[in-house]
Amino acid sequence: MIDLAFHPGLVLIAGAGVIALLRGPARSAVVIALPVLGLFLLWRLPEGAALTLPWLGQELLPVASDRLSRLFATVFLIAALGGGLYALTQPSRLEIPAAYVYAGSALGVTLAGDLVTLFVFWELMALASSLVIWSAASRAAYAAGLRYLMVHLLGGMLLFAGITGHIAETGDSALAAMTLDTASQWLMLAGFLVNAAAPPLSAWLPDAYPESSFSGMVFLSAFTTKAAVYVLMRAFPGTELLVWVGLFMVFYGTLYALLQHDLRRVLAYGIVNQVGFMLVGVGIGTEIALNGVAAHAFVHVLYKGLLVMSAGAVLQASGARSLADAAVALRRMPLTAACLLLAALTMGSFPLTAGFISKAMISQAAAEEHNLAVWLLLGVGTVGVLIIMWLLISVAAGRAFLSAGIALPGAASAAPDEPRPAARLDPAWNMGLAMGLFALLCLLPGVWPQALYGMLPYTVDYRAYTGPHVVAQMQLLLFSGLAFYWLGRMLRPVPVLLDFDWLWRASWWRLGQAGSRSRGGAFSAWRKHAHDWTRRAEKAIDLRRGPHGAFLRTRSTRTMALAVMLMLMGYLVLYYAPW
Amino acid sequence: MMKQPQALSSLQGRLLALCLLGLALLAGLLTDMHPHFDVESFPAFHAALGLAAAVLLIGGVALLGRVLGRRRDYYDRHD
Repeated sequence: MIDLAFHPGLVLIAGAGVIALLRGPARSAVVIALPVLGLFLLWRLPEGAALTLPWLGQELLPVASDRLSRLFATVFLIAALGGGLYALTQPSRLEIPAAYVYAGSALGVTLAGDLVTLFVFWELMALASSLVIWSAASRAAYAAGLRYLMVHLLGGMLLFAGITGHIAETGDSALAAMTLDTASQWLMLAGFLVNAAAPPLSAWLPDAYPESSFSGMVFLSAFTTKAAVYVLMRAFPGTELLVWVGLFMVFYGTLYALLQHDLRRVLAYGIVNQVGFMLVGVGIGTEIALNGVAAHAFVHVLYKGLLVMSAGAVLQASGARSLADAAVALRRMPLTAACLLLAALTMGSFPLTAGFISKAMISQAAAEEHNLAVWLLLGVGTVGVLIIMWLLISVAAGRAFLSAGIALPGAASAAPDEPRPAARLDPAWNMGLAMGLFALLCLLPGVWPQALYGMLPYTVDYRAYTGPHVVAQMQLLLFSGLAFYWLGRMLRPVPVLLDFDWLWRASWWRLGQAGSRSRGGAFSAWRKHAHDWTRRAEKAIDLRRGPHGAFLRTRSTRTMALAVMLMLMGYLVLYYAPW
Repeated sequence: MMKQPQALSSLQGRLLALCLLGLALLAGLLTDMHPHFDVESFPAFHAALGLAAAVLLIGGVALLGRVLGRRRDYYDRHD
């Protein structure tokens, strides 16, 4: 029997409150000590449910640990430690406490044994992560954070409807594998997929993450999507739909990443792409596939963290956001460039990095199922990741291939023979230390696969370092590099790229504008009509629900008390009425 | 050499890259690839896949950029 006070997630959440009150070295010490304490508590947890709480006739299991949840919880705590260390010099005093609540609730999700506990931590995760975005304190971050929160609250509603429906139908609140045969299970799946950045609600991720502060994105890139992958592994393993959703995300993420000129937006679309690979593995659902997903999620948190830390160091030191500007800044940041290079190679599954031993298990699972189509599409998707890798390597080498396509004022184009300036811009000690830690962790499983394989949910009889695997991966790496060298200049970033979020960000008034511009013809008459209609709808909404609209007007206490009394009386009449 | 930090700018760089590409192909010929599918037994399958898929994807990206790309102020409302 174990007490809730020993829940690693709750320790982090409570600790966040302490961090908010402290300053100076004491604050730094607590920031570093909390995730270490969390790791200690996590690995002390016994296998299975450690605690049951009766609640409204349900048995809640807030602390249930097994190999799978321990693996995800471990990498979340490592991410919190690295992120906390990295963010020590972050001037915003809100960010680390918010991020620790965020990390703690992600831990709560991975340790939840029932759907009610899961939902509580799920919503807390959405709120805390919005605070992490807002702590960047810019207008763009505020707007993107609002859009982010809206999508997550919608996802939370879907999940809530699904969970309550499921409990009502089955009377069982346990988090177990489901088969998608009731509407409530579909609703739950939809709620989970929102957090996994699956289409159509995927734009929140690349929209909001790059607007966070230089350190905020380190936290954001670790928790939400991977917690969703974890829950999908629990609830929907072997659901074929996820294979196709995942493959869509693989290609969507690649194509959209290669059209961005903001370095951190490239990385954000890269998350969607990699989560796609994980969903394919969840959809295949065999033991080797799920092992592959778990291993890939673990490694992904590490190298994506290192990529985002490197990009954040560039942003903080030079303010550079675009690939071309970052490439110029990186010439003066050799350590950061080395970290970016290593993380990019890990992403590209280069032998001796952690990427080589993890992601290939998902392809292997497709091969063992003799699913040629999925296997080939995963292969093409892997090549897409390699193109992103070559792009990042060219940035790390101080030379963005893309500079030709960028005609922004102020974007210093990467002139090849500009002399290296003397002043170094490499980041502060704490950021360097965090990056060094993650760099080490990107290499360790690559040279010692058993360190990671020993933690996976099922026994591993997969060998990564075989002749065919090394040769195949090197051929993919080198020949995609050849294509990138030839055709890299065709990759022209565009400032704004339409996505599903067009539907709620612009469709209504864009339609109207198109109508107001058009002249003559039957089609333009229709567009004129559409314009008038959107205008009228907009006015009607503003009249009723605007800041001074009928529904939001401030009323006197007297009127409100009367309204409540009438409502209660109406209820009484209805309740006791004879029918 | 120091003036041009990019990887493949010099003749040596190109030669080195060609050597690596050749080595990868040669290694593929010499290794028993344990194919899961028939297509995989074609020698240099992964090299061909890497090249063809990369060309296809970069072409796809260029096309997508033309179709879905918009101006910077697209989401700013002016009316």
